[in-house]
Amino acid sequence: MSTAHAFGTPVIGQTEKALNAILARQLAGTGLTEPQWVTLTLTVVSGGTLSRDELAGRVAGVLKVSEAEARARIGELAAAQLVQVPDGDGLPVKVTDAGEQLHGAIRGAVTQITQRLWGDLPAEDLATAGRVLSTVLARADAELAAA
Amino acid sequence: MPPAPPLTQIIGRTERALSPLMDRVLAGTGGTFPQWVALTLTAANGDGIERPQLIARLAGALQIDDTAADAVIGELADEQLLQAGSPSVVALSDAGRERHAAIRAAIDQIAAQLFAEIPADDEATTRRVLTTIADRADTQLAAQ
Repeated sequence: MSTAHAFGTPVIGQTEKALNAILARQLAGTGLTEPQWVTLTLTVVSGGTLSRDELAGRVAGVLKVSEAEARARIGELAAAQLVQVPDGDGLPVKVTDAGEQLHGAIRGAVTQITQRLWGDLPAEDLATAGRVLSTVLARADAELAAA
Repeated sequence: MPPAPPLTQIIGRTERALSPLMDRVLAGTGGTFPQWVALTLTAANGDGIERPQLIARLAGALQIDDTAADAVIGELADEQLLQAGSPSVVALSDAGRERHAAIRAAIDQIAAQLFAEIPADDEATTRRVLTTIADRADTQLAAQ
């Protein structure tokens, strides 16, 4: 019997929904929405090396939204002075000090929670789960792009 | 290469990629995602399920409130996919069973592609890890 049958997608969806509800509580009071948080995180992770268009492409891919929407999220972060978008084409978007601070505070709170959720699970199991999900994600992205 | 994203991010990204694939399945079979979950929960319970119990499970699975969950069940009853077994019990109608089987088959086909050649042990580990995380997250949400 195929185990894909037993696995399917519900367990991923339910985990995501529960984690999202926890994240929403952490974001409450920060003024950030979840898409803005993801955008801020991607900006921080890029280390100030991506232009606005490159960053928008990455945000669109991760959030599964249009590039126009991704640019809107970047614009909102810029308006909140959490990131700095330079005027010239192709110049990198950088996180401001305020953006760095806010990201660090939320990241810290989230890390504390995830530590409670899976800090005691074997590292090997967590690595396996990450690897399996990455494979599934890559295939799902390919399937979405193909149609 | 950037480092592998942490588990929270990879779970979120995977869900966001699977969700539009699910929408495509439903575009072919009819029905909404909440309706599909309600059909699955009903089917999983055998012949029928107490309506309050179905409402509670659906609300938990979708992180929605009881009123919204009850509305989903109402939609399925209106479409005669769910029927009353006794006053408080709902069960799948023949049409409901057909709808459930059609969606299940379409999902299985996609899942077989997505999980192809992933060792059964790895898949079982992933499932166990995610279930543990989801259970703990639910507990934490309920406690606050």
